[in-house]
Amino acid sequence: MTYHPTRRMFLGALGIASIAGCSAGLRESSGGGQTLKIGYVSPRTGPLAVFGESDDYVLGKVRTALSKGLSIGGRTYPVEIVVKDTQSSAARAAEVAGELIQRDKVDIVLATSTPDTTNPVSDQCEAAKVPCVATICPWEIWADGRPAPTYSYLHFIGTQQEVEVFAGLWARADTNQVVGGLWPNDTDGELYRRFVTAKTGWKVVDSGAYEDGTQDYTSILAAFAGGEAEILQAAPIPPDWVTFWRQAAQNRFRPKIVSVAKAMLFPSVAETLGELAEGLVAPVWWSSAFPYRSSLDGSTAREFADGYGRQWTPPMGFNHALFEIAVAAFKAAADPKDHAAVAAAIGTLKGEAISGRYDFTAGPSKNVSLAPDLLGQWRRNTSGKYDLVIVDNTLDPTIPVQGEFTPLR
Amino acid sequence: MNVLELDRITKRFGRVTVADELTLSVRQGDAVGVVGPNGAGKTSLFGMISGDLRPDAGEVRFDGHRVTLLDPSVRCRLGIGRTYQVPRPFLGLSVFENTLVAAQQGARTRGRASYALAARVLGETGLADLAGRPAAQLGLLQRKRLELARALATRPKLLLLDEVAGGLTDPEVTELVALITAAREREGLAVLWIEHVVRALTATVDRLICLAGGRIIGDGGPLEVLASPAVKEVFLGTADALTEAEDRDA
Amino acid sequence: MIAALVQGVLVGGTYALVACGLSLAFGVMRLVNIAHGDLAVCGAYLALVVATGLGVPVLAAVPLILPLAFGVGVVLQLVLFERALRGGVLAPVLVTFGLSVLIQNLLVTGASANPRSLDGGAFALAGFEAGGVAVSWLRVAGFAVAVVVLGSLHLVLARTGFGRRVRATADDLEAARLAGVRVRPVFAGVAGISVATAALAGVFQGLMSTFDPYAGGLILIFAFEAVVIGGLGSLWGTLGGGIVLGVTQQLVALWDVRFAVLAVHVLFFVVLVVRPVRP
Repeated sequence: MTYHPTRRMFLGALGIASIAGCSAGLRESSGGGQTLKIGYVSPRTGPLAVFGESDDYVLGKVRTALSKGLSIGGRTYPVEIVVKDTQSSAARAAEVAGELIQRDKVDIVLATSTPDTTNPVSDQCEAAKVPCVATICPWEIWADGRPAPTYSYLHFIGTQQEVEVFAGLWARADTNQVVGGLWPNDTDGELYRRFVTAKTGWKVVDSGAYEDGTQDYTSILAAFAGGEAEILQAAPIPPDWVTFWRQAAQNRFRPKIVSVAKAMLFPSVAETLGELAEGLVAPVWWSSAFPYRSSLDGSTAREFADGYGRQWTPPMGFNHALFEIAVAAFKAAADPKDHAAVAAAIGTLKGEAISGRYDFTAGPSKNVSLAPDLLGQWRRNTSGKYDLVIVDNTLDPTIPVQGEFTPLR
Repeated sequence: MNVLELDRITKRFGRVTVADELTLSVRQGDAVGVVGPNGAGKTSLFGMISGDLRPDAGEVRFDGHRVTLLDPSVRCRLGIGRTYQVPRPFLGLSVFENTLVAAQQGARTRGRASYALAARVLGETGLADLAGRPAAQLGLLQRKRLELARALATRPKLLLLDEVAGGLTDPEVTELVALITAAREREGLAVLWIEHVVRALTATVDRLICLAGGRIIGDGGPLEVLASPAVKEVFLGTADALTEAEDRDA
Repeated sequence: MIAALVQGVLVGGTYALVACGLSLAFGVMRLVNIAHGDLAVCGAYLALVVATGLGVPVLAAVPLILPLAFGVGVVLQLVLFERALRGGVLAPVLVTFGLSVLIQNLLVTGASANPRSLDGGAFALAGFEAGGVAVSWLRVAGFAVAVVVLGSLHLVLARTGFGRRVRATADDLEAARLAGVRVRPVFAGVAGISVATAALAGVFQGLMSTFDPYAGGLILIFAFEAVVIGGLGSLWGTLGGGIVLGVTQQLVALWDVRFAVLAVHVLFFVVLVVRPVRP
């Protein structure tokens, strides 16, 4: 999830330059086609591939649901989905977004998973005046440092909100209120550092902005132990977290509460850690226990997750929701082939998807719909696998809690 | 019986011809000197015999085998030994290890026999006292001796000597020539010897060939070849290495 | 401070374990193996497959993996590297880069992009305290294995016929041929050793943290830096280079953890400038 604003701006500029020549021709041709084309950009390969792991399943569900086309204003439009892989690179993401816009002439672009996808793709769409909906990138990272968006939208959680939820959970346990912060030298790490440090009532022992890929955490562990941190708040990339948490065990550092953003989202990481995963707290922005249904085919979150055949992952829900939002936008626009109308229509949307409620009319920033953030605790289930059990539903009480929060010691 | 036969070998580097349908045979036990001006193709000739170079056409036969396309290591094992003009000892190995590798790999000896062979050639080349030294510490004369020792340790039937005497003082040359003569008498090996220092050659070889432009322009007894008009002309036309060498001898 | 030194030395051992194969391949064959890190990752995956497949602990799988990895190295040398090495300076770099990409994509297809890890059991999580320094047994074991591997390699090179042939070939390929050394088996053996040590290092990487199909790049960078800092082609130098890397990282982290990894890269760069690489 490393990500640099300067690089993005550079790429954005490149994108604008490459598209400028074509945008005029685009507007002419866009009115002619009958088919609604949806472009979908995600990291299928590369270090972020874990996010795109469920894409084939999600796309299959969506294609089945939309196989008869969309009936809008008495007309039926066939729907075509064009899928592009970013190979986990921001440069490649910008490039494939350009291809979708110029060559495939899509009517909307959907972008998912980490700032390396959402931001370059959104920039391309702004430049080419093509509607875009993005997800799985904290809204602060998506919105900060970009000009106010017109064509691009984001539906996801925010880091500040997540810090609030974590702090609420920390307050539930009896601790000395000292928080050890394991925050790397990347955009996510910086945001957590900023928001946690700004919270009053908590003393912070900062790890310092270590590099992603660091192999040895003994000096950081010594600092946490020296500062008597009883709470750990971490936002590392998954491999670093595994390394850190194993070394913590070797060095007998065991705080009362360990809350881990980013790294502990995926069951595969919990499996990797084995019993060390027990009791770790992680954010839940989607789970199979959510009481919501797909607006495309009516299936419940549980049915959707079970149909996957493998252990579900949180991105599934939000990636599916992107298509639901796109369909809602087509229906809300007077003419689904009119890019400006579709883009404007997204801004009026308020509804429910399999991921929960979305509301683009009242976000914390322009064109942002803020999703609620819950907390879960990793626990071993009866079959020996690890589940993320929801223990905090403050932000969306319609989602039931599945267990009581218990500190590590 | 011929130990080496070159059958119309040709080799060109771009426009430069270093061997032009060159045919040559060397009999067992023969000592043949090779002279010629710079760029005559002497070292390339050695390359094609030892395997570092592949001829464009023609055939190299050694001891009854066609070796034209064989790897240098295989030719070495068949019995072709070679020294380089500028010695190339294995600098990271000790003097003894240098000859030991050659004894084990080139002569295919093992265990005790290989150690005995390596020690023997060191004794013969006067390096016994330096056996434990890293080769990198040796001076030029010692490196030349080691080059010879390593070639001898492969137990060659044919020894290719490339300017063994170059860069040495007269007494050193005398010493080295004595070493080579002794080795020849002991092993009965054939020698093909490139040399600018003609005195060293005339004292040892019984046949001399002169190369120029990739062809043999003189072949026979040393004095007879040196006296032939064609050979004289070739050397007069160039920077006259031959005369230089003779001057130094005088 | 002392803690940082101790940890630095221990971490350095793991760097050296990856780096020694790279160093050997470069020193003997002038092969810059871009795929070295990916081969280490393959070793970790292999350990995972063997350990779960046979239901044995990871460490019990190692004796099975090493000969296999050796064989892979031999085959790679004979079918791939040998040709590439004949193609000049750039060809081996391109070919091994291609191999690296190929391995990554095969692993993604075969094993998905999920990060994996090797379960070392209780031993992997155990630690002890000495003089106020918390030390992990796994790290100690990693360091010890690195020293043993480097020591055995050193002995093999110094004392055996194979080692002499390797050194002779490394010194002067043509002269070695003329002395009767058949270079193919020498190179194949070196490639085998190189890949086997990479696989072993991959297993330790997997025990200490995680690996995924793309983890090879980072492994390669540290190994490469250890080799360059330690002096090309020198085994003990490689251990020294690894330790220098580890200690630098730890000491700088004491001051500001932000610059820990950066400091290592800067050190590498300074070494390159002050003492340029002479192959």
